[in-house]
Amino acid sequence: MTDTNKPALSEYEILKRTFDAIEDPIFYMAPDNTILHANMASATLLNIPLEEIIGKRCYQLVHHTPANIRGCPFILAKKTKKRESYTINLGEHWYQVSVDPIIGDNEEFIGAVHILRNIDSIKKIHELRAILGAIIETTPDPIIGETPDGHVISWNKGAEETLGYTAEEMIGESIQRIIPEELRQQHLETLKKIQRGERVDQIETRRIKKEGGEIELSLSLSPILDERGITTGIAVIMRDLTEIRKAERALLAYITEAALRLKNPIEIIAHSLEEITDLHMSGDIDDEELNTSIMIQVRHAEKVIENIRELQQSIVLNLDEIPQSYRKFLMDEE
Amino acid sequence: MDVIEAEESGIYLYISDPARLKQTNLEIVTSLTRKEYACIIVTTNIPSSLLTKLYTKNNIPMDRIHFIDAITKYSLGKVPGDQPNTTFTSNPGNLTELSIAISEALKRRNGDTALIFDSISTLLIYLSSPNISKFIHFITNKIRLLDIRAVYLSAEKGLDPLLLTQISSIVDEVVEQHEK
Repeated sequence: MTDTNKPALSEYEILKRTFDAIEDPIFYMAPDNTILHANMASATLLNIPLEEIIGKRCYQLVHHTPANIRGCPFILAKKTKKRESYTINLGEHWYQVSVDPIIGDNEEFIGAVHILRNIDSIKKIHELRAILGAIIETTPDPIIGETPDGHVISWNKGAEETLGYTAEEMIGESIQRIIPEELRQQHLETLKKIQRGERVDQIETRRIKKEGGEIELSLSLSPILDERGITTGIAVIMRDLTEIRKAERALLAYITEAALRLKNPIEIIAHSLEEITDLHMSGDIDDEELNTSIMIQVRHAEKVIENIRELQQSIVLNLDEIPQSYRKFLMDEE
Repeated sequence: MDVIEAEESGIYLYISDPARLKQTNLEIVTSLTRKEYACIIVTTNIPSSLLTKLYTKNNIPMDRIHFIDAITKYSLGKVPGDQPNTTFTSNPGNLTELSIAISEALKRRNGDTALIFDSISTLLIYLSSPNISKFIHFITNKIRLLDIRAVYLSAEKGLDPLLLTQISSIVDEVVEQHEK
């Protein structure tokens, strides 16, 4: 009977092939930093044949230095007899280097296993996170992270400035704290939508500031989904509508003032000119009286233009959010 | 009841279609002079020379009329020399001068007198609503003390809602006239 389970290769060969099959570069090093063993991934990483690696010192091949670099994890591990690790950039890639000391029966350091793990994807994620974090922190708009049930997990500077609460005061708190009582039920219904994975875009609502007053805001809520599509958090982006409302009120005031200072006076001027013409044509007034009456209406018209100019300028001076080109136009500047 | 039908003194705000303002002025002045009232006409739109012609044509006795013309001098830079019953002020926006002219004319009144202000809406071309409101309050107090009649004329939609409310609250009656 043949033992079909009996390996065709020796245990050493199996371990050697396993060693070479691992994608991460691995070195086995003697106490003096000489590389005794290295797998195929090491040769690929260093771009030299495996036999040229063996017998060399790690710093010669990796760092191209005559001695160990400062903070070398091998030296540290030799001292601490514990795993030491650090991050290194080799060529265009980032590696997490860990050195595991091998301790002999008498607790002496007899060598180390040196493993380099490619962390490009992790590094990219960290970089992206750092960029996104910086964007979130520096944007003037409030951006809030919440748990699916509406507890605050992040609170940016924009939120601090707009709503008055610091991140320390809000993280861990229910978002209901800043929602006016009459809007809380509506918010709970919005939360249910988000929990189902739906987005809620630009709803106009109100929130309570720390000082006690209310602020008008536009809110966009997006679910943060895990790989299974389950909502694990909520990203809330707010936009302060105070300036927009201020501009709307200014616009209403402008329309009203423009009606009073432009439409109605022009109506009076038009009717007056019509009457003057009729009176002149019927012979009730002579040429001189016609001229006098027309001059009066010209004066009215000039004053109307002056009023509109003053109105434009007062609106422009009281509003900051006007594009420069429009500001110049409204201020009658060259 | 309007100023024409009223038996007693009172202050009225007439709101008229812009096309009817001149006609309203003529009707009120004709009616009051028939009742032997002397009329002080403050004009900020129609020159007093033209009003004189219109009144004469409508058989209004000119010896009962005194004009305070706030627009002719401002528009022409000079005043006509042949209008004895007229006080010219230099600028419709100069309320101090206008107030003095009205006060002087009221001092000189003889018998039943009415003040007709034509018009608040034209004055709005030259002054802000708050200033006009203060001025109307001042004139109204004076008229109340003297127990005479007064009519403020305004074009329809010629006053902003706040000014209209303020003036409506201090006059005895608001009369709205629309084009027929």
